[in-house]
Amino acid sequence: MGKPTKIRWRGWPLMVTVLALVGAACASSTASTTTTAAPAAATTTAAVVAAPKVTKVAVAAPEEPVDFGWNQQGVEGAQAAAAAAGIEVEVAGGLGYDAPTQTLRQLAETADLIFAHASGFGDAAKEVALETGVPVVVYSSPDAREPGVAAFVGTSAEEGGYLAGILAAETTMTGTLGIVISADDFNWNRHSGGFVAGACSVNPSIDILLVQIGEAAYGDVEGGTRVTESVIAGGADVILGNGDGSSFGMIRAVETADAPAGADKVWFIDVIGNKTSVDTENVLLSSILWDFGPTYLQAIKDVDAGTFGDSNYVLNLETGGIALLKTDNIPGPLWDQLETAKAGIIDGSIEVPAAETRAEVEALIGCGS
Amino acid sequence: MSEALITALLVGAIAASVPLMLAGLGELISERAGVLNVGLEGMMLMGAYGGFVVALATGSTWMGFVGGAVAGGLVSLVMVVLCVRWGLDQIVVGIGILLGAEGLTSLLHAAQFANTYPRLGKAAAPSIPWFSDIPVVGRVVFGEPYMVYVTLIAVFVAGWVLRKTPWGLAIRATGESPEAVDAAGVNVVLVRSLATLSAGVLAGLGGAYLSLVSSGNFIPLMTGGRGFMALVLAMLARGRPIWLALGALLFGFATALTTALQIFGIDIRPEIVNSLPFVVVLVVLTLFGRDDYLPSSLALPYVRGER
Amino acid sequence: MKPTDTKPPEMTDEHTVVSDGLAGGLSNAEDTPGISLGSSRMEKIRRSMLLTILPLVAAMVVGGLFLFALGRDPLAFYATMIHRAIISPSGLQETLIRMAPLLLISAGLIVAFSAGIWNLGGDGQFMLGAALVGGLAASSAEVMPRGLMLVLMLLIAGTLGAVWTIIPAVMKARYGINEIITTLMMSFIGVNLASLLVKVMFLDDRPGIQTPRTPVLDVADRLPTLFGTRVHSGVIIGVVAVVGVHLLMTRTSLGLRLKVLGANVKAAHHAGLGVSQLTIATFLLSGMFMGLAGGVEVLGVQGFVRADWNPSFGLVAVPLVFLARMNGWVTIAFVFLLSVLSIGGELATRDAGLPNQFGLLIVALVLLFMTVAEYFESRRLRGERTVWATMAVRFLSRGDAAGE
Repeated sequence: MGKPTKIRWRGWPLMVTVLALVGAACASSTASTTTTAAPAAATTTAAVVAAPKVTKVAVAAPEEPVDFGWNQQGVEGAQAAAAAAGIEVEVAGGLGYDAPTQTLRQLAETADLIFAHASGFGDAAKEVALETGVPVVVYSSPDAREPGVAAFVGTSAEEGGYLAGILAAETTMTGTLGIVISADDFNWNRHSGGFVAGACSVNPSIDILLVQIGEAAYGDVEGGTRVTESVIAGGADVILGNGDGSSFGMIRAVETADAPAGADKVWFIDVIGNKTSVDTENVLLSSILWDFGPTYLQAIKDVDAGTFGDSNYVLNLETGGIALLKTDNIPGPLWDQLETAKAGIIDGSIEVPAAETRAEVEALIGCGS
Repeated sequence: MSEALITALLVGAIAASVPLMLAGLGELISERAGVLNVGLEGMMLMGAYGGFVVALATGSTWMGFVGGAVAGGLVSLVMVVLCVRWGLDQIVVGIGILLGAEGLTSLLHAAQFANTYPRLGKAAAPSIPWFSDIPVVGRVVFGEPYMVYVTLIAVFVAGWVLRKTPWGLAIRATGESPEAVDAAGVNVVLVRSLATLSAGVLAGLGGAYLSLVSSGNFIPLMTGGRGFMALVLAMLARGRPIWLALGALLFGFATALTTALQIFGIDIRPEIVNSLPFVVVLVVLTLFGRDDYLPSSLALPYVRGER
Repeated sequence: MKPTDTKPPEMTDEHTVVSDGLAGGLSNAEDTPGISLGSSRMEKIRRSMLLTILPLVAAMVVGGLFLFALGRDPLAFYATMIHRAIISPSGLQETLIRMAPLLLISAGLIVAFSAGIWNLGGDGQFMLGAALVGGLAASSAEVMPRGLMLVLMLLIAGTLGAVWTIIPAVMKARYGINEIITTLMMSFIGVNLASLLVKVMFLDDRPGIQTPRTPVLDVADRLPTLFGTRVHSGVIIGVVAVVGVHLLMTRTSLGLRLKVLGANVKAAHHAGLGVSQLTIATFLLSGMFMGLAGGVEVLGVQGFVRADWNPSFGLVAVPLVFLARMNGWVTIAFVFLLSVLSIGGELATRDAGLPNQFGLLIVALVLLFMTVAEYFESRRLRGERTVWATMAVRFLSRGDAAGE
């Protein structure tokens, strides 16, 4: 073997490269970030004295807003609210869940209100709010509420689920319904619990199959197809599909599977978004729609008025944040029945269970028998 | 517990195993020649995208599979040039391929499909008189999409080629001792290039199966770690395609089992069920893995004239 | 079948390079007559810079072509990236913060790969360290002073990471079972186990919390920040770890023993180096750093662990360490580069209206081009040149009589 070789330390040429690029960047920079001094380390409560007029909002979402679901609805809601208020909106999608803090801080540099549109962002968002003084709307927990800092948006998703359950139970020809969930997710469980209760209110001997695709299988489109095919084969002819990307797999299964014995076709009830425009085979019976626009607009107004954080927000049938999508596949009389039920939920005469864990949903199956 | 349900579960099990079988087979061949494809997942993803796009454009599933194979093969060419020809590090290039494929296909999806989410219809399957009518077995054994049978044939062909033909010998010898092979006058670079290419082609087919048959959709990052699972199955198969096929089937059945348990109301924590396949692999290794059985030159570049 | 000697590719350092690498020519190229590339110090520096800058620029150019094809302005993109990641003070802080877990993971990888051990289980080791710390930190902060709690948590994180390597370590040391599979398997199991722990043992079960997670550690109790910025001391820990590992590898006898183990297992045996113990020690050390990385990320940035959270830092650190040829200083520079690409790229991508995955593409291009640059460098050192280089040299020296 020859004489030993020394490695060259290539670190400093890299630094030089970087500095050269920095020089070039300064010359032609069109970047929008503006900061001077770095904020001090996290303090406890930030006092909001005067309420500044909101001129720009930002929405942070974990996935790209092209999912016809949570992310798209949230971004479109923020955009609608901003348009209604006549202000600017910055959209930060596809952030993932790994380190939202850093992006949120960056958004806080220019925005006056941030919609931290994921339950997993809430804790980080509140910290950033305390650090920077920019208020945030969160989905993590009602306790996060703090005047001038953070407000929580609750979703009474089960109310929409209840209506969907009635719809499904009235539409099924086999007497078996299917619920497919992509994860043991708080919101999916709310939907499902309400769905079961609504179905039971129509037919106490209804059969319901509940299957979870996997651990966090939100995007597992193959799993969605496979599981839904199994559920259909188990006799279900109306499927409530809770998934993000995986819901397209579920839809494909509904479109291509043979209808179970006793039924002409299989129907699909979607959640959160409105997939009518991509429903090429007409399998979409309805959807449990989530509309964030009115709530986000209210948040903007509250910041302007200085009352942000005095109370939490809620998406439900009454506020219009939750609604059942009306499609041509729902016959008129059935829709009237649903409207009646909706009124009953709003005035409190119908009580809808709010299941939060999968175990609670399973306990509801069987209609209490 | 209806017949339709059992059928659906079994069909689902096989559907879950085919992509793993295809990608794993390709990786098995390339590993026997000494090339480790950490970027297998990226090849599958490109195959899924390429297959989907071609099938949408031509309306033909078979053309889609060709598209997927070509896409996967093209990606593997990067490995061929950088690692086999030039001797660069296989792990680094593999990870580069993986990240690049993820970025590229996600971008393309956002540009093309994000507003329409087109879906493909059901894949064609044979319909044999009398045989297809047997309950459960008729559909599961005789009514699978054609690609399933192609895959099984590929497994047997690969096994035969590796064991009985000069080409197979060349592949195996290159994995063990490229110097000896070189000295015997066989072109090591050519052998490894072809082996890597077959990994790309088969992984592309596996990915295409996901988008064309299993789900009828293309969603960003839809391979979800299957490429890594195929990598592991290939290593576990100890170089024998039949064992690879069995491993893939085992994994597919374990996946379908999680669905079955839920439909029948049996409740086990999903984290435990999801960990089972990996625990099984470890147990198998402990019981049967005493001798190191990976090819000696795996992941090492071969440069003529060294040593 | 002979036992597998799966070694990582050549790691050049002050010690002799393995014969199975590209050694033969490396030492002699500079002295080979006829090659008119000089060996003066200036030449070496120039070549170093070229080797680093060229691939970076090439990757950026190709990335720029993609941007152009998508109808975006490449210059604005890169300007935003640089501005955000380096110029803007808040952005620079984020870049530094992002470096912390990557540095620790790189330290763990340097140890393992130098000894020829493929520790691909970093994600599982990271997650278990993180999960334990996430679960115990908040409650510990209530019963002990902050400093003690932090040290304790870091110890726990490191220990968990190390413990999680025991199975693959023993399987390799005693039975020669290839660790690529075992560490990968343990990684998947570890990630699942971490998720299970968060959901079952460490769950913050106050009502109304929407995602399953551990209790949140108060910001005031987290790793202390530096000089009034947001950068937490985990970054310092990371730098110390990498430098420490580098010094360990280059200055101590243990480091030499590990490198011999990595170069040639048989030689290590013959030298009576206690291969079994060394192997296990390497695994434990490497795993410790991975677990530590998880703990630092929780104690410095996140403050809690969400179920199903897995940032997978381990994957992207592997190529970095290889490209740096296991050299600690170069690793730090590369980690900085990667952080710049991540933090700056994220804003630039968003401003350009592209999906976030575009950033992945840029990182992939940088990796690939840098690897290619390595190829040309090693060929040159071997005394070969490509056709292009030969032609280039001929062209440039066509006026000299001394040319080839």
